[in-house]
Amino acid sequence: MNRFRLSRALAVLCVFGSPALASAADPAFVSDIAPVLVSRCASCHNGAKARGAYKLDTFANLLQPGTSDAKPVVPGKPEESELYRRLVAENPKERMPPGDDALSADEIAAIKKWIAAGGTFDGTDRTAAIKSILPPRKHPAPPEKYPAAAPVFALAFSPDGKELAAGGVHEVTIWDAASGKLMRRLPRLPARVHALTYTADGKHLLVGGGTAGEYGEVALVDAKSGDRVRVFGTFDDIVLSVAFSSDWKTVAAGSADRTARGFHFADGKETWRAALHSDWITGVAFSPDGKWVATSSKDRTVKVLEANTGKLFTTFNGHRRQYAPHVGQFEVYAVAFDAAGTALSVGGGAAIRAWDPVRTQDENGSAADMEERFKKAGHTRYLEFPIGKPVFALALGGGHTFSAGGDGVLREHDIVSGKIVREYAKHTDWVYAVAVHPATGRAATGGFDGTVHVLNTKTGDAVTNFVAAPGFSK
Amino acid sequence: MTIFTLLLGATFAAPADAPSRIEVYPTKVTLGSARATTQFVVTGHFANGETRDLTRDVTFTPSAAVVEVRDGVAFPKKDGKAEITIVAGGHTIKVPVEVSGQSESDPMRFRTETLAVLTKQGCNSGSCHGSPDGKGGFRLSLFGYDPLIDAESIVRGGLNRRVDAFNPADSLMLKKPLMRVAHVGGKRLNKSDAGYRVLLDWIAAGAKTDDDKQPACVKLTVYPGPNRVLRSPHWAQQLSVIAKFADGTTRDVTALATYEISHKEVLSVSDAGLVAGIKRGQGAVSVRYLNHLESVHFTVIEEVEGFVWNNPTDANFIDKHVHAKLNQLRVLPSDTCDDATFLRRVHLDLTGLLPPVAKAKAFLTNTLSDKRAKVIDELLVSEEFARYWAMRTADLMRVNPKTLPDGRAELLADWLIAGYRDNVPFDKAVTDLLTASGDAAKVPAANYFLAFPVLEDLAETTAQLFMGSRVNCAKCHNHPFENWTQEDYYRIAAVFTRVKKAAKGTMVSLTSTGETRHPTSDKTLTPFGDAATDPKADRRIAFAKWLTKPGNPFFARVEVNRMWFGLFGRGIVHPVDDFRSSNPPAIPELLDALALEFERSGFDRKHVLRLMCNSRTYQRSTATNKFNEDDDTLFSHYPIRRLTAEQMQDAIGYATGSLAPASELAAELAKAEKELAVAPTDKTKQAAVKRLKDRPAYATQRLTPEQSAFLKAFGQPKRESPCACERGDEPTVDQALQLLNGPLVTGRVSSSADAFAKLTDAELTERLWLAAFARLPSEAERKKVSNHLKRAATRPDAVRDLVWAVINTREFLLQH
Repeated sequence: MNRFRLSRALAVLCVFGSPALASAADPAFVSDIAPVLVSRCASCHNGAKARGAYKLDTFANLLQPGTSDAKPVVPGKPEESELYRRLVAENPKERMPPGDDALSADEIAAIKKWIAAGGTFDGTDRTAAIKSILPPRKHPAPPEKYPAAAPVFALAFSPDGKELAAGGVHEVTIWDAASGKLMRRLPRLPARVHALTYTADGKHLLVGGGTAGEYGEVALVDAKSGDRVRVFGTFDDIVLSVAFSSDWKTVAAGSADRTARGFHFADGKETWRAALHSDWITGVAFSPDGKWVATSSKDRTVKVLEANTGKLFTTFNGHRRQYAPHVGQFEVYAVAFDAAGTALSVGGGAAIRAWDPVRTQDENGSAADMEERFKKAGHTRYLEFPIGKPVFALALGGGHTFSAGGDGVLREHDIVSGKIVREYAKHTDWVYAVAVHPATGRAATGGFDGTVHVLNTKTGDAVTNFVAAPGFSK
Repeated sequence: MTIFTLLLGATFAAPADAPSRIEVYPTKVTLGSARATTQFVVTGHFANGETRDLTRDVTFTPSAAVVEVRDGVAFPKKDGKAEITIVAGGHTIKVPVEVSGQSESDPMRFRTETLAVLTKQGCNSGSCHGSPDGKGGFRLSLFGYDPLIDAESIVRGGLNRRVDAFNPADSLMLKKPLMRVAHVGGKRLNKSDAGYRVLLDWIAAGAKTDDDKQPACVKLTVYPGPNRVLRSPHWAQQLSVIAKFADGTTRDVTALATYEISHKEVLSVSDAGLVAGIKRGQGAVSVRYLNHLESVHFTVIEEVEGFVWNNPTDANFIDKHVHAKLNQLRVLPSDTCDDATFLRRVHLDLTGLLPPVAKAKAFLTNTLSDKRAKVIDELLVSEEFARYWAMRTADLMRVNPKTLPDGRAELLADWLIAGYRDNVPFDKAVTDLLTASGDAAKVPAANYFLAFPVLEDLAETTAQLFMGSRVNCAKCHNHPFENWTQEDYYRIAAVFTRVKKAAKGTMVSLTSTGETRHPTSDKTLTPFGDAATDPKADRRIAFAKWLTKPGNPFFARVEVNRMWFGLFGRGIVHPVDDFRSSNPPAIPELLDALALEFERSGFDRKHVLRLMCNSRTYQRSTATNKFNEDDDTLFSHYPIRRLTAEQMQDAIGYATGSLAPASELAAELAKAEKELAVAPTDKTKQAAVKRLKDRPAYATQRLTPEQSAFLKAFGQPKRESPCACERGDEPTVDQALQLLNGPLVTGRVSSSADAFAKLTDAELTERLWLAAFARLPSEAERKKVSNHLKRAATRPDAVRDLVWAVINTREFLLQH
């Protein structure tokens, strides 16, 4: 983490370093001012309906007066700068933000100082969205003792199957998979962790999470120390899913900000960004041959993208059918590929959909070859999941699917036969997370009530149950 | 000078400004929880009968530090008993206070607090997250009628992203309405709002939604109510809202209730229930808490410079109530209209037709003082009256041959006409209608059940026609603006649930079994109205009895209001089928008095119409004065409106000479019937009688409506809805084109040249003016017409131009 911060600071200095103007203690726009503006001002002063016709969405716009014609920033003169004046105005009708707490004294002081020092811009592009140039957030420490259980949205077994990582509040907690004992805590991570994946060597964890409506990130975290080694990218909403390609060289992530992004694992560089869904992206998965990334969405579709470019290959519409037997419109919450390249997707609609990307594209063909399409149509198989609530989580292992959701029952299906192999003992609440480790024969479910159930996939028995909330007692 | 005036003002104002007594509400305060509060309302009663809200002008002094009063609201400090001394205008009142439960935990309640706040902030309104599909993936039930949907949506929905028990202030459900995070719905919450604290504390306590066993709210009491007068300059009134729960406990919910204003130009209201007048007028404040809604009606008055009440005489009690309201609101009524205007007005309103030329001329020269009353009496017994008013009723009952084929539409229409002709008491007419059974080909009223074959339609129509209530919202959820619940809706349906209609054919019969169940609770519902003694008896009889019993809150009021609407083009309650506490009558005393008179007269419709027509209020001029030009709701002047489609068509017929006065048909019919009696099998004679009976040439007199582009353009209803609003009164381009050169106008104008060929210039002018305007032409008009006719190349063309010009005048096109 320290290394990361340092390198970025160096880069800034190299490009824009003009020490003659700014003293070392002066606040910098990108790191000190922009985060405040984004969190406290930009939601109203934004877009076509910006309040007072004043926009704070880019640095260039920030300098343009709104309807009052008062200059927002007069370099060197905070008192004459409308941006500063409105933060400290005594008249409650003038003071920003209206009907809300004033900015903190530190924040106001920083803005004053920044204007006094010249109000300069230390980013690269004045017309870029300010939100997009923010550095990754520094996260606070998790609660020492949990006052309540927090829903478990992410679970992952370490490659050796001994440890079970669970998403917590501003942290990832590591538990002994056999005993359910807390082994260690990886703190200072996003407020909610929705996605967890171990690297092949088990030394690191890929962590996806964020804060609802505001922020998301994908970070590489040292599985022992908890250090945030690298942040792959920041998002405008929570990252709900991350995945590795089978050669471990590429990472894909999907966020509630409706984007899916591809990254080089080695250097963290973003390789593509796809904004094809009209709602949250709930799941991402690589095909075993590395050709495709599938993204599932609350918009009731699954899209198949080319893994190298992020370009759309096809859209799977099997979760919104207008004719029997699986009629209805359902949000999709997870997607996965099995070793044979079959895509499996779950959500509402009382069945796991098993389908093939190429045949899906064939079926989606143009209207001209309708007859051809009809011949090919209907290759999707439905693995019955007979509940009226959505299925939120899906994991694969040993040719079987392990999935669970609103009725709390983990169901194991054989992908080839489509039959339910086993229904495990009911979880105590809705299940949001499932993980499976075939080699040790264990599966785990994480629930809305914060409990984690570890199960033996050979016998169906419970291995251990625990509440993934350090220090919490009922 | 200034000092002198001030001193004088003080000397004189002081005694008048001291109340003769004060009143404090509530009379005792019980604060049983740390967040319980009590809103005081202190009222001053003055010697002149005025009342004034003094809540913000008094001092509150507690006898012990168990309670604190800020801005008229009592907050608990610690357990114990005390007294609050309230001093105002030299009067003192002591209110006992009991504070308890201050050290006990009292978690915020989801059903009675969180949901109330979501309503107050507008989150679950119909245009936001309360819409059937929600907004932005977040769906709430409309005004919180279904806590289960809301609990799941808020707490579990969206992967639990909306509430954050670990950092409550960071919950999306707070950051969005605060606009900390972009929110399409904009800023809906301030940190200073009482609701912010409720939501924050509720989330901090774990966002629990399991309070379904807690007692539900059963009653809402708003004080003061149901009416209040605000007299300038004392235009503010604090409200107190107290909810009563099923276990008998009460709670002050003034801060949690939602306030809405019916007339935003007259009144405003704060989130804390402080009402303020804006200008002279009337309006309702609707107070909602959970599924309960109560309204307080405010009259805002102020002195108007130069206003002097002119003490108009009352022709009957109608004027008394109207004048009282006008005087109170400082509105000066217009003068009485002239004879010609009255004659034209009363003919159009009672018969749909313009007065015949001969009648108009005779009336204008008649010097008897009771000639207006005589005309009213004549018209009320005319066949034209019965037909025109039956047509208006039939408009609301789907009486059209498409819905009721094989002559049944005509059968039902004829039955409605007979009801007006014979002045059948309205309670009997409605009872006959609502309880009709048998073969609808023979029993006219039974067709009502065939016109509305779906049970829900029947329930909605019956409620709209005879209870003046639009209950259709309550089909899917409790009514958003009124106390109609979903249960009420299905209880009305339960009245008709045993009516059996033959799949084919026309039989309407009854079964002795069959129930209606509540769609969500599946509870078997008792029929609306009084409970029937015999469970096997026709439920409709008990319902009709309840409906038509004197004192029923809807029946008489709704019908007198419809009659008033027929004469004024605007209801005392407007729209006429939208009675609800949040839509108060313009003059409540008038509506009450008319309803009472209607009941007292044995539901005599002609009697009430006669009273209305004879009132000065009905006979006022449309011309306004300085003190009533802004009024369009209090009937201080007669409202101008366009002739209806049917009136317009027949009026054009009269004015162009192509339609003979309908009143002449009676003699023709008598003659034709006599001839038919001599030769009863003569087909031609039979047809002649039928034609005279059906009156197909008259749009206002026909049994079933004529379909034409002209009538459609002027808003003739299709008879598909029980709503009076189906008749359009909006101006359209189509109307202008129809009047300029539409086929009906061109045809009739064209033939007018022949019809008037034999008349001299003077005769023609007089004939035209009497037919079109029910008045004689002025000298200037005579001269103008005469010049026009003289100058013209050909007289027929000149006559056509003249006739066309006359029917395109506003005096002709408008009812005034």
